Amino acid sequence: MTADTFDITFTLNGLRKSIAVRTDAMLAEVLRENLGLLGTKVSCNEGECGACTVLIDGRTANSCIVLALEVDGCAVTTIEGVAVGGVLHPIQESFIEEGAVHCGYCTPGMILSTKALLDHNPDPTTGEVRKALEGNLCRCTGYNRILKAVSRAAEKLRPTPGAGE
Amino acid sequence: MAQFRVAAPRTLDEAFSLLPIQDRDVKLVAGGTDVLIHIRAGKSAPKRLVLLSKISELDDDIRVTDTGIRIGALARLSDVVRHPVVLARFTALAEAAAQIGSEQIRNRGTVCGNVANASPAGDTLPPLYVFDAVVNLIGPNGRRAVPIAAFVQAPGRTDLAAGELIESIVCPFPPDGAGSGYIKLARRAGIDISTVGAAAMVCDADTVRLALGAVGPTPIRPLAAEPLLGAGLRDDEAFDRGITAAAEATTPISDIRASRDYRLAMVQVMAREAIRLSQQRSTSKDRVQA
Amino acid sequence: MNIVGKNVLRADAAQKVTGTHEFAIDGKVPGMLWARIVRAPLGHARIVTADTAAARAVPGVVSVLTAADLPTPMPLYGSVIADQPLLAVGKCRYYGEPVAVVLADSDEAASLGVARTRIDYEELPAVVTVADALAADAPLVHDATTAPGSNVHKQYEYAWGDVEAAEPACHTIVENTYTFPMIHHFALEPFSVIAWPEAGGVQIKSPVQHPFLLRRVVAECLKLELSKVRVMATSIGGGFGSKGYAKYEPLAAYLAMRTGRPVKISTSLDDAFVTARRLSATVHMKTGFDRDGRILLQKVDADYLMGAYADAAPRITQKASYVSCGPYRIPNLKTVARAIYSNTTPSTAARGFGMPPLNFALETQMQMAAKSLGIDPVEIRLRNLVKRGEQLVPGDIPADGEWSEGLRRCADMIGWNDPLPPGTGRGISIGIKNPIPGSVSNALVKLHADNSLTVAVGTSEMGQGACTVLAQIASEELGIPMDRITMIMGDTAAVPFDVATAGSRSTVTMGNAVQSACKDVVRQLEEMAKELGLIAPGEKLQINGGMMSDRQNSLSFNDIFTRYFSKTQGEVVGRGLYKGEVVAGHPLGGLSDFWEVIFIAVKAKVDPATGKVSILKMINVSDIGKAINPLHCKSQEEGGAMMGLGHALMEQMIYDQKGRLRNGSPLDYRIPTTMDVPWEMDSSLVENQDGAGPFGAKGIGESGAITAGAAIAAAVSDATGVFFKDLPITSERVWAALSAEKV
Ligand SMILES: Cc1cc2nc3c(=O)[nH]c(=O)nc-3n(C[C@H](O)[C@H](O)[C@H](O)COP(=O)(O)OP(=O)(O)OC[C@H]3O[C@@H](n4cnc5c(N)ncnc54)[C@H](O)[C@@H]3O)c2cc1C
Ligand code: FES
Ligand code: FES
Repeated sequence: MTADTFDITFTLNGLRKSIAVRTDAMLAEVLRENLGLLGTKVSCNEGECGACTVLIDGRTANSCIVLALEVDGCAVTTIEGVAVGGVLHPIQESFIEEGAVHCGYCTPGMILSTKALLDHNPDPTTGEVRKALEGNLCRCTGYNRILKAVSRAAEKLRPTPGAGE
Repeated sequence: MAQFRVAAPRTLDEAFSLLPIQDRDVKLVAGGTDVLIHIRAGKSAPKRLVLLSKISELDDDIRVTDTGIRIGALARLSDVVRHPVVLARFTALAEAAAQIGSEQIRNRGTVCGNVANASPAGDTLPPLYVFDAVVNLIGPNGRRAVPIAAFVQAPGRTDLAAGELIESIVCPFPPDGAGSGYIKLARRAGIDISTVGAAAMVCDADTVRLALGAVGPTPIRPLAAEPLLGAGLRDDEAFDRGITAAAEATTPISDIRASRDYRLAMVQVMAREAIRLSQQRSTSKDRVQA
Repeated sequence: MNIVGKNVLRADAAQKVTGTHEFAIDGKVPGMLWARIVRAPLGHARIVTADTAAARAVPGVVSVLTAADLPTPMPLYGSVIADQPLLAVGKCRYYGEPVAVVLADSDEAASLGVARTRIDYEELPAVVTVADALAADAPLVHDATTAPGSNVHKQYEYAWGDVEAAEPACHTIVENTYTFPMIHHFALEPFSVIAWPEAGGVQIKSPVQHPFLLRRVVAECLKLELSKVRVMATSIGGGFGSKGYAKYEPLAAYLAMRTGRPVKISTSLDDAFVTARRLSATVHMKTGFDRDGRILLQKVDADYLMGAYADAAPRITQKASYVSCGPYRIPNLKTVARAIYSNTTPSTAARGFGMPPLNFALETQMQMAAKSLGIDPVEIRLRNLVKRGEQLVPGDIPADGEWSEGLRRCADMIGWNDPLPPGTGRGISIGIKNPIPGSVSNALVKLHADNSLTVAVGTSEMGQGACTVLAQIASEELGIPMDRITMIMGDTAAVPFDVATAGSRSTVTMGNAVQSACKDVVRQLEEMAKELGLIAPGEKLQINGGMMSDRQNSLSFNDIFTRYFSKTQGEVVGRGLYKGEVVAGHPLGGLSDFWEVIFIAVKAKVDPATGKVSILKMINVSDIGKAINPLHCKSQEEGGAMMGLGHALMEQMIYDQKGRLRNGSPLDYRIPTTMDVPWEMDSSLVENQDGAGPFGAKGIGESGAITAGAAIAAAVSDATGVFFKDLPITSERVWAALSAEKV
């Protein structure tokens, strides 16, 4: 650790990571530049668009305005951690199936916001879905298909009655 | 070659040693959703940031006490939004917090940061004015408690003295049966800065408290109008006069979000709506001639 | 049909949902220099001095270049006319114009270098509105435009019939002036480009919609042969026209050739606001109707405000005003459109290519006429819509659909005659546009020995789904499954020429090229089979699932292949060309391939106290001919319509008198969010297989953005009784209009 760097240890997509980060580095920059995780997109760089959304301890955050050293000791999930073992997450499948992916630039952030929502609220109302995604801008799809994809994902993720018996 | 250095003190004493004087070169960071944006936009260029998140004496609790609630320095907006007691007894505050930024912003941003930032459009401020919140400050020379309206002084300016920080904000419970609400007008339905905001609290058949946001350098609590508005709960004419008096207490400006004229008209609409909503929510409404 | 008409899922979606899809902004090349741009802080100013010493002292900064360091005369670029300098020379003409560039070993060093560069300016009066530009003593944006002494770059006129003579017969004349604001595309992916020197030329990786056009512009600017410039269009993270024409690529290419190193120019989303915008416009429209609501005449004066450089703006002005008649039968018409320079962000193509301002004006005229004549808004449109086969613009192709069908369906879907609760209103409108006239698309289709296929096209994938839809067309044509088809897109060294990914054209024009390339493959296979004696001369072949059948025996492509070549060699290369009809002397150069027609209906609620508009329901219907992929078509429409909703209700770039952009960031330039989506949204496609594209397809994509604004304006008028002639219809504007009514 030098005056300009800081050693942090955190869980990244389930794996422990220790890394020295510049003290003024934002999480998005560290993910993209230092750790090579380019799935986290950066657009506005000012907290307005949600393209850079990641989960910190299960909650969404705009990684472009979170100091990397703030995630010391936290669990961070990026888009690279959503599909496990090469198998798409039901949210990812639903986005594809509903035509909710156009240019794809907003998609990683949208999927993480959806994940945080459904992890906490498996059966959201349309109003709750809209509210949960208000910080994720998409200029391509007009959102309609994204909202449908979230409903579809919620359905897929809900345990089917009787299953597991 | 970093733009700024960052310190993450573990104790208040350590923090105080880093904040020798109130200095433009040093900035405290809670959620960072204002500080980091201001740096990005070139509105401020601190040499050092001092993180509050690791200070052991600070907490992110929303604690219910005998007399009210205490919101810790690090309590996130999204926690306030979901807190059952805040929702039930300080509805306007929960509503205001719910309308700040996006879920991502609310997950990082704090109530205390919103207050310390002292933006005229800060959404939690009008409810905190209405609930007569008190800001608990702590500094190298001890603690002091400042009423919110005295704490917020001008856009971006507060009563924080050299080296001090906000330890918590306390809101006394409003009277039993009181109802409150926050109404925000913005340019679009999703994530936006307030064009006008209004918080109200109504209790019994004759008490109204009102605070108006984004229509002056600080939120405005039109104290002179409140008795008229209280009487107005039973008398439409008095109510109208109260609303006019409340609007007269404001000094809105024109900017790219809205003109002064529009704000002047809207402050009345928002105030009416906030009071109506609060009245509906107040359990003493059966005593009120709706 | 097996594949065409199916909701085949996007070929690139799995990568996009896992974050593994590569965008140019993610790219790095070994030895690369990072470039960041120093931008002008004023709309119009003389550049007095540049002090770059402090910037050059930043560790990692390699050089800081201003116009003084570049060749004289400064290389200029532009697709219509080359008027844009790589860096501003002598004066800046718009806020945000590149004035210097910092090259460094890291992005941070480059950014810090930008912050440390000091340039002094002497302010000049700026032109930011149409009125500013046309004032008698207006400052000139350029010293020598085509109309010297004026900011009017060019004027375009269209006329038929006799407008003056028709006037006395009119029962009702509707005459108004409309304004349409400056709009930013707001693609989420910021502009970025990597260029590197290669064999006496340059290679460019950029998210560009028109790689071949970019190749030409760069070649012209840097005086290179076309073959020495290779453009590789990367997958585009939203373009909407903003990434069509050259932006930072000429500068990147120049820097790469100058330094002999790869150079990456990165920009922010804020920078995009000073890179590209839609044309704003002031439209004066006079429309005359007979007693029954039939249009007798229309006179249009459209002043399009370009930015400081031409970009594609003159062509947009020329082309949009060509269809100022909308979808209506107008016997007498006179349109004058002007393309006017100003000290603002250069305006370029944007979804709808200049149509939205005209459409908003014309559809509002229809709305007003309906009201004053007491005719239902659907009915008045039905009376004026051209019928299938009827001439629209004289000399161009006639109406290629029965458009009343779409209008009726749209009205039905919104519940046109249902009772409306107080405070709500309904509106309907029709959008129309033509694609790029007389345009060229080539495709190569390569059949490989293992029965897999490579399709090489100049089309860019920009989220519209071209990589899926073009593969569907090939799959259908050859019976080869989708998963055996690989698309090569937008690399000028690897794919044949295509003019542009724009104008809703690719499915039709490139689709036709791909289809004919597939037919060429089959023809060649037939020849090969004949040569091998596998089929008799004159016999026709059936194609099925990649197999060819000579009726008795079935032959797979592979059979023919291996017998003709060998197991390890050979390839059948099919070539397809689509060429639109070029007409000598035609104002646009040729005929329209098809008409893109869309119908939008909206139900809106207006809060009279605040003026706030909420969209309760929105219906999109497109006359699509044949949907190759219905899901794609509908979601394109919806995306376009939501963009149109933004234009209608909240979007506008605001300049101050010094020509400084005051809301050039997502903080104060508002686009719709999930909270602003209509509460109900539905789409439908009119499919009569009557388009010029493969399987009868027509184009789609710009559609919603053309007319959503007009439909929303109509609904707000219906709810309030007030007509709005200026977009956006902000809450404040509605409130102001209603307050004025009350007085
Ligand atoms: C995209 C976006 C949208 C937003 N939308 C809204 C909105 O709609 N309404 C709204 O009101 N705000 C909005 N904000 C502003 C911001 O999110 C809020 O003001 C938030 O509450 C700030 O909290 P924070 O913890 O992030 O503050 P920080 O950025 O950490 O700090 C803000 C200020 O307070 C000081 N400070 C913080 N904590 C303390 C303390 N304990 N003691 C002393 N000083 C302290 C800091 O030094 C700084 O000056 C938005 C911001 C963004 C980026
Ligand atoms: S890039 Fe982080 S919110 Fe836009
Ligand atoms: S898919 Fe392009 S921004 Fe959402």
